[in-house]
Amino acid sequence: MCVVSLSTTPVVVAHIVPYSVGRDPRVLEEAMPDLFRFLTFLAGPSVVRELEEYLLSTDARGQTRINRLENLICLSPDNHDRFGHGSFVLEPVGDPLAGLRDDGQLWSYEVRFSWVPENKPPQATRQVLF
Amino acid sequence: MTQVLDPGVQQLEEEDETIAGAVLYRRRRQLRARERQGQDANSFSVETGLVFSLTTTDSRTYLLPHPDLLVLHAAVMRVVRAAGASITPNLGDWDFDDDASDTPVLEGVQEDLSYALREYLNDTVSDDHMPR
Repeated sequence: MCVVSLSTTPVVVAHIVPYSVGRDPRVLEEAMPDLFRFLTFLAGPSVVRELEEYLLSTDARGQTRINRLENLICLSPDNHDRFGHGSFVLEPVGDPLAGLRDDGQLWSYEVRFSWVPENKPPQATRQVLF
Repeated sequence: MTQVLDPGVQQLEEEDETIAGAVLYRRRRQLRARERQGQDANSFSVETGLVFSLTTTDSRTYLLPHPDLLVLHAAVMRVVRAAGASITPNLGDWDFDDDASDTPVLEGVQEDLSYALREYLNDTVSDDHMPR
């Protein structure tokens, strides 16, 4: 079931961190576009290190953990496309860890839906760029 | 940048033609009898600010998306989609040479760069605009 529209068919499983990052390069430094430098400047080196360890470390079969369930979310195909382009984002509200049960398992937390407008460069700049 | 630091700021999404026409509907109930009657009676449009819960019935087998990954996705997307507003029109002054020596060296950086950058900007701004 799509978590946004609640439609049941069709539903696809979308990656939050793109599958291509974990499938081909396997190390963030080789991902194109240059996610490594972008995330290092945006979020800091420690976040990049934790992200690599969380999603790009390999298991016993030599595969990355890019497909782990924590990196997946169910969406309709349309919403998958919008999510991938950043047309909307889902942001946790408050402290998600408040939804931890006694056994340490996260069973529920609230997210806020937001449309994110795309800001296009001024017309004069676009003519130079494209 | 305000939108990045404080996502609660209302944005002008109606000005973006790529999403202005995109209206999502969320069903209130999953009743098959009502589904046959159409969506209008038991659905409403999904708009900015809608808060809903992600819940799993089995937190061991069917794990929820990691909240930090959603936060990271939201931050990256807000920056990327806001970036178009910040491009300087004076591109003629830019040096587009692909000189590898121009790339900043990140090896050995242990510090949180975003924090360092913020501190640097704060110092710069306060130095420039302090009343003399």
